[in-house]
Amino acid sequence: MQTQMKLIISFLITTLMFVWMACDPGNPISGSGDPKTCEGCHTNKELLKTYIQDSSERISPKITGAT
Amino acid sequence: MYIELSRFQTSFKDVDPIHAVIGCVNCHGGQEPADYSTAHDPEQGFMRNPSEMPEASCNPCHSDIVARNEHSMHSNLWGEQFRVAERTGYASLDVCPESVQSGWESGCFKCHATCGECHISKPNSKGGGLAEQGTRRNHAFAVNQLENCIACHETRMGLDLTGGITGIEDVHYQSGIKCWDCHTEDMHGDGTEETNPPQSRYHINDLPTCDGCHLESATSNSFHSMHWPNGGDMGELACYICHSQPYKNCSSCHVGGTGALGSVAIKFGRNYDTDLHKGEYIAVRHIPVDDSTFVDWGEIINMNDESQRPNWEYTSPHNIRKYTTQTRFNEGESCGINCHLSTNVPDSIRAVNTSRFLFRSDLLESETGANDKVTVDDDLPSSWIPIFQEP
Repeated sequence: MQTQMKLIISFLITTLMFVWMACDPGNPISGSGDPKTCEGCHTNKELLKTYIQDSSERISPKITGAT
Repeated sequence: MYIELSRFQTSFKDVDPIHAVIGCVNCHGGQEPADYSTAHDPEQGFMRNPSEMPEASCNPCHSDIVARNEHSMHSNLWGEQFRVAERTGYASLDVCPESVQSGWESGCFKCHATCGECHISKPNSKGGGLAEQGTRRNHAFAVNQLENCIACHETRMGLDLTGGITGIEDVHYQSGIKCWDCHTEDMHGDGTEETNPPQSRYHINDLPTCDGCHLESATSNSFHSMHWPNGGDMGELACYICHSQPYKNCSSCHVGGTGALGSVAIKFGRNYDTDLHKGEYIAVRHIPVDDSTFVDWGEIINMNDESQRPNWEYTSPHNIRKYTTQTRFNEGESCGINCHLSTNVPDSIRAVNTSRFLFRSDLLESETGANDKVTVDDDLPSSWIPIFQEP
C-alpha cells in the first residue's frame, strides 16, 4: 500500500512538473517588442525612462532593434 | 505611461483581451508605427485621454452608456447644482448670476471625471496616473474601489469605510464587499436624468437600503422591534443611529478658500425630510456651509433663515458595525444606557448621553434658524424631559 502511494505521488509530481514547463512561456516579450509600436514602447520600462529623460528636449529618441 | 506585464502576460491582450482587439491608435489617435514625435502628435489626432470625447472614443460599442452618462449624476453633479442654487436662493443653476455659474464651473465642476478617469486611470483631480499599478492589470478597463470610487469620495466615505477616524473599518468593507456590490444603481444614469435630474445623491433611483439585505432583522431582537426605521414600536430610528461609529463633521468652508475645519462626532437629529429618509430620528452631519461659503461668488446666505436648508444634514455614514458604543451594554444594565437620556442609570438624576443628540445649544448662533427643524429639544420622549431639565 505504501509503495503504491509513493508511486502515485511520484507520478503526480512528474506530471505537474511537465504541466508547469509546458505552460511556462519563458521570458515574456515585454520590452523586446518593436519600439516603433505603441505596445512595444509602453511595455518597455527602460525605453520609457529614456523618453522621459529626453522629453524636456522633445527630441525623437533613438530607436534600435528590429522594426 | 508604463503598462506592466507579468511573467505570463506577453502583450496588452493578456491584460484586456477585449479592448486590445481595438488597437491603441483607434482610441488614442496618433500614428503607429512611428517615432516618438509623430506617434504623439496632436496633428495626427493623438489624445492622451480619449474619453474626454466619449462620443468619438467609446462609441459605438458603448453607445447606450455614453448617451445615458451624458445626463448622469457623475457627469453633471446634479446634487451640487441644485444645492448651490437652492442655498443662494435661485430655482436652478441656470438662472443664478453669472458669477455663481462661472464659479461653479471652475470650482465644483472641476471634479467632473471622464470615462477613463473611473475605468482606467485615477481621477485627474486626485493626481491621475494609471490605476492598478503593480498588479499587472494597469490600463485594464475596470474599476478599482480605492483608486477610483474612494479617490473622489475620500473625505467622508473613504475615511468612514477604511476606519480612518476610529481605526475600525466598516464591517462591509472589512468583509471584502465592494462599493458596487451594494450600489447596484447604474453609475452612468438610468436614462431618467435628462428630464428628471436627481436633486441629491439620495434622490437617485434604486439606491441600496439596509433592509434590502437585512429585512429579516426587523424583529430579530428587541432593539429592532422597538426602533426599526419604518415600523418600530417605540420611536423609529435610522439604522445609522445605532450602527454608525463617530464620523467627520466639517465647518467654515467657503468656495475658493483654504478648506474646512473638521471635528469628529456622531449626532442624532430629528428627521426634517420624512419623504426622503426613514425614521423619526436620523444621524446628522455638519456640512461645510456657512453664511460666507459663496462670498467669493458674490453671494451671502443667511443660515439664520428658517427656510434655508440646514447645515446639519442627513447623513449615511459608511462606518457601520453591528456593535458600537451605542449598542453595547453590560449585563444588568438598561439596554438604552448609552443612548437614552439617563432614564435608568442607578442613582443618577443628571442627563447623560446628551452629546449624542443635536440640541439648540449645539448650534452656532449664526445657524440657528436653518437647523431648528433638526434639533431634538421639542421632540424628546416625555419621560426624558424632567431628567434633561435637571441642572
